[in-house]
Amino acid sequence: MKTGKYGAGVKLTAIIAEIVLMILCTVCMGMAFCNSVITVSSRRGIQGYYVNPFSRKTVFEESEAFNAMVRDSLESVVRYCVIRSQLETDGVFDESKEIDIEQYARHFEEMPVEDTGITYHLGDLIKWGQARDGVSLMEYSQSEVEEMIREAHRETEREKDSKTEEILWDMSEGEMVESRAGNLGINVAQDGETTTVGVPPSEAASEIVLEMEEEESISVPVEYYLPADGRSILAHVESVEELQTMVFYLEETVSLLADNYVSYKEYQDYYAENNSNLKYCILLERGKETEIYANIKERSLEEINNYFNTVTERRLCFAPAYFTYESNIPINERVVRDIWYKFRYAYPDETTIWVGVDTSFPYQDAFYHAKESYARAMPGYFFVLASGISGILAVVLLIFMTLMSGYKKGVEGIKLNWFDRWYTEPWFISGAVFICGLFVMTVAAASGLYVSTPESKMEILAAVAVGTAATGSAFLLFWFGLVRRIKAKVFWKHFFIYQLFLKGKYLLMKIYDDSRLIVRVWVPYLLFVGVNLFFIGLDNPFDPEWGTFMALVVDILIGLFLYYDRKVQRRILEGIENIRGGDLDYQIDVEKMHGDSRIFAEAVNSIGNGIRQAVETSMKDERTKADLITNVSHDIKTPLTSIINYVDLIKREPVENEKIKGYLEILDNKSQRLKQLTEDLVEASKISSGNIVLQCDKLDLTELINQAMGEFMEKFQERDLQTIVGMEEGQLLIYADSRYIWRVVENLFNNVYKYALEHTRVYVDTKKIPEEKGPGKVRLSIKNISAQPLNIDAKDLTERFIRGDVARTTEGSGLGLSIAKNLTELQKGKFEVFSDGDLFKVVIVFSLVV
Amino acid sequence: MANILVCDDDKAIVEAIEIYLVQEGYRVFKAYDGIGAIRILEKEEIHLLIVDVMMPKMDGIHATLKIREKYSIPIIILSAKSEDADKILGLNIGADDYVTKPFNPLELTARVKSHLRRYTKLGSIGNTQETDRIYQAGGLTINDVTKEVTVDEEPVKLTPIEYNILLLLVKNQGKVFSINQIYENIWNEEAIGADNTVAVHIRHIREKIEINPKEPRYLKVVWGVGYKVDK
Repeated sequence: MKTGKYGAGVKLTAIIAEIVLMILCTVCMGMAFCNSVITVSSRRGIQGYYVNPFSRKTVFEESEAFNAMVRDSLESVVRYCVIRSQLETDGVFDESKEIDIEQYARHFEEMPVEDTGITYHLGDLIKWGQARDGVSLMEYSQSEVEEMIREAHRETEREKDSKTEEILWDMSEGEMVESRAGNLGINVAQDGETTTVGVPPSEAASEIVLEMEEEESISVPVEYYLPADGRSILAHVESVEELQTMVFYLEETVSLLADNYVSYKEYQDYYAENNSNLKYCILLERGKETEIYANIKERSLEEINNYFNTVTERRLCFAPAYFTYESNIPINERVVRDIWYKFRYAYPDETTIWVGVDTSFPYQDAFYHAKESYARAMPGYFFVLASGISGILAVVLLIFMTLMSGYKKGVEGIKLNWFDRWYTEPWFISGAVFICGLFVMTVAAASGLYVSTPESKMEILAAVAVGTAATGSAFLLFWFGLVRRIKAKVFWKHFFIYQLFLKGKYLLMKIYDDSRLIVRVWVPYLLFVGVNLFFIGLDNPFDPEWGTFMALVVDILIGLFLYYDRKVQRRILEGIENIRGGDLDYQIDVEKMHGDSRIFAEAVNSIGNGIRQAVETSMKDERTKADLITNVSHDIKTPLTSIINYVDLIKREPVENEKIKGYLEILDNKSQRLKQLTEDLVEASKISSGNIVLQCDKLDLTELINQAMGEFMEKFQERDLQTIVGMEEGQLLIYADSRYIWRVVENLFNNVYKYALEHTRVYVDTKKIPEEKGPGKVRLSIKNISAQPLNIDAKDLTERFIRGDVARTTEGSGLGLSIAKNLTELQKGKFEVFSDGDLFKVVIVFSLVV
Repeated sequence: MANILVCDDDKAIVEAIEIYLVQEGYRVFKAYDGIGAIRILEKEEIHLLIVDVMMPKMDGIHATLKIREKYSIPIIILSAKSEDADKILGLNIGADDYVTKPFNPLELTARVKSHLRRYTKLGSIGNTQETDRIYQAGGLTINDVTKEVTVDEEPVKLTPIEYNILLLLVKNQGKVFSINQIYENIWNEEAIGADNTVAVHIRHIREKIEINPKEPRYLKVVWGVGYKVDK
C-alpha cells in the first residue's frame, strides 16, 4: 500500500495553482483572439476581420483584414451599381423614371423579359414601398372584380370610340366562359361522386358555380398611386387572371425597390466620392452605348486606367468579356467572378470593373479606422505562447495531482471523502451536466470577443476568466472524484444500480435461506410455471416470437439453477463417500452453498470432524496404553528373570523333601506363565494400537496349515486329540504377513491344545468361496470340543483377558484369541468365533489372490 | 578355559549367570555398568561378553560400540527389550547375539558355548576343511562323505530322511522349498496330498540342531511358503 506524501496545504496550493493556470490559459487565448480580430463598423453594422495571430506584423494594406475588406467592398460596389442603374438617369436619382413592373419583378430571370406590363413612376413605387403596409389589398368576389374591370374599361372607352369597346367586350366574355368551363371541369372532377349518383348535370353544374362564386375572392390593390398613364390598374388588364399576375408583380417591385432604395441611400453616402478611400468604376457596354457608374470623375477608358494606376496604390481590374483580371491585391479571380455572376442579370458581358484603394487614406472611412485599429493590435503570438505554456503546465500539474489524489499524508491506501461516497450516477450526471453548462457559457463568452469593441473587451475577458474559474473548479471536483473512485476500486460498486442489484440478490438469498420447505419448493415452481405460461400466452401460437424466447431464457436460467443445485448435492455426496471411505480429514467446501444444502454440508462436515476426533482420541489412548504396558512389562521382566533363574538353580540342587519339590514345580509353572503373560500383554497392546508394521506377501494357506500341523502334531498326540483335516485341492494363495499369520494359526492351535477336551477330534477345514468378480475368498475353520463348559458369549471370547473358564485356573493369558482376531483384521481378514454348547468354532476368511 | 565377562546392573542376575557359567567350567568376571566392563576388558583377557542394555553410567549399546573399536570377541546382548527394533539395533552395532529376558539359562549357556567354539576354534581353523563333499552354513557343517552333521563342532544325530532333507536345504542355501518340493526331492515320488510328514521331520531336525527351535538360526520356516537354510 502506498502512503501519501503530501499534506492538505500542498494539495490546496496545487488546486489553486491549477485553476490560476487554467484562467491564464483561457484569458491568454481570449487576448490572442481579441488581437486577431479587427472590428470595423461598416454599412452592415460591426464587422470583425480575422488576423492570423502568428503572422508577422506588416503594413495594413498587406494584411488579410485589408484583403477581406476589399473583397466585401467589391461585392457592395457591384450591388450598388446595379441599384444605381435601376434608380438613376444619367448618374442622378430620377423619381419620374418609368418602371415596368413586370420587367422589374422578373429581372432575376436568366432570359431578358420581352413582355411589357404596366409602367409606374419610380417615385410612386418607392413611396408606396415605404408606406407601412406596402401595397394594401382589398378582397372582392370574382364577379365583382369582373364588374370592376368592365367598369374601368368602360370608363376608358368613354374616352375612345365605341367599336373598339365592343370587340374588347366580346373577347373578354368569351375568355371568361372558357375559363369558367375549365374551372367547372376541375370541380366536377373533384366532386366526381355527386355526378355518378344520378344528379342531373345541369343542376350539379349550377350548384358548383354558385359555390365557386361564394368561395373565390380576388385581391385588388388599393390604388394610392396610379400607373404612369394615370389610369387604374384595372383598366390595364383584360381578365381577373391577368390582374392577379400584375398585382403579384406590383407587390414584388414595390418591396424590392423599397429595399434597394434604402441600400442605395446608404451606399451613396458610404461610397461618395469625397467620403471613401475606396474608388470604383464600372463600365458597361450595351452595343454602341456605354454606361459608367463610378465615384470618380474620369470617363474615358484611358483616363480611368490612368486614374487607378496613379491614385490608388492597391487596385483590381476585372473584365470578363476580355479575359482581363489585373490585381495587386491577393484576391482570387474566381472570388471576383462569383461576385459578378450573382448580379449577371443586370450586367452585359462587356463589363469592366475597377476597384482601388487610395492608401494615403485621405477620408475617415472604414478603411481608415481599420488601419488605425490594426496599428493598435498587439502581436498575437505572445498570448498564444503564454496560453500554450500555461495550458501545458496545467495538464502537467493535473497529471501530478491525479497521481497524488486519494492519498492522505501518513495514511495508507486510498482515502475517500464524503463527496466520493455518493452514488456514482447522480454524481456523474450532475457533474457532467454542470461542466457542460459552464463550458458552453465560457465558449459563449469567448465568442463574444469576435464582435467586441475595444471597450467591451475587458468585460468579456473578465467573463471568460470567471467562467474558466467556475468550469475549472467544477471539473477538478468531478475529475478527482472520478480518479479517487477508480483508485479505490469503488467506481462500479458505488453505482446505485449495482448496489440495488446486490441488495436484491441478498434479499432473494435470505428469503431462500429462511423460508420453509413448502414455500421454497412450491413458490419457485409455481412462479416458473406462471412465467412460462405468461410469456408463451403473449405470443400467437402460430408465430412464436419474443414471448417464447423470453420463456426459453427463463427456462434456461432455471435449468442452470437446477444443475447448480444438483452439483452441490453431488459434492455433498462425494464428501459423505469420502468420509465413509475413511478419509476423515475431508471437508466439503460450503462457501458457495445456500439453504438446505449448506446446512446439510455443514452437518456432514461436523460429523466427519466428530468421527475424526473420536478416532484420533482413541488411537492416542491406545498408544499411551501400549507404551505404558510395554514399559511396565520391561520393569516386570528384570525381576522375573531372577525368579526364573533361581527357581531353576534350586531345582538343580539335590532336594530330598518331596513337598519342596512340589512347591518348586508350582513356582516354576507360575513364573513361566508370568513370562508368557507379559509377552502376550505387550504384543496384544501393540497390535490393538496398530503399532506394528506388516510386510505382506503372497502365501499358500494350505502350506501354512500343513506346516502348523507338523508343528503341533506331537502336542496334539500328547493330549490324544485326533485332527481331521479337510483341505481344498491345490494352492490357496492369500496376501498376508508370514510371521503374523503364523501367530494367528499358532494361537488358534495352541488354544485347541490347551482347551480341547482330551480324546476328542479336532476339525480343520479350508473351503473356497467363489465370487462373481475376482478369485473369491477362502474360509478356514477350526472346530473342537471344549474341555470346560463355555458359559460366556462367543463374541466376548475375543475380548482381551477373557477365557473360557471364568475361574481362570488353567494356563494361558486370555489374550490368544484377541491377538489372533486383531492380527487377522490387520491383514484384512475376517475372524469369527462361534460356540454351540461345547462345540467351539473359529472361522477365518481371507480374500484369495491370483 | 575361557574368560567370560558378565555385565548387568541387576546383581542377582549377574550372580545367577555366574553360577551357570562356572558350572560349565568358565571363568567369570563381573561388571555392573558399561564403564566397569570396559575397565575389566582392558585389564583381563576376555573371550566373551554378556551385556545388558539398560544400565547406569554407560548403557550396553554404547559399551558395545566402544568395545567393538578394539575387540572382536563375541558379544551377547541380554535385554528386557523384546521389540524387533531393539534386536535389530543391537545386532547392527556389532553384537553377535541378542537374548531377551527372562531367558532360559540353558539356552544362554548353549549360545555362549556356540559363540566361544566359533571364536576360539572355527575362527583359527578357518574354512580349510572345505572340500567337495563338505557343506557349511554358519556353524552347521555336513560332511557328505562320512554322513556326519556338526553344529558348532558338536555332532548331531539325524535319521536318514532328516539328513537328506537338511542336506537338500544346505546344498541350496537361500532357496525356499515348499513341503511338496521337499517331498518330491527326498521320496522321489509325486506328492499327492502330501500330509504333514515333511513338516514333522523339519520340526525334528530343528529340535536337534537349534538351541531354541522357536527361534531357529539355521533351518528357518517361511510360514505359508516353505523352509530354507540361510546363506
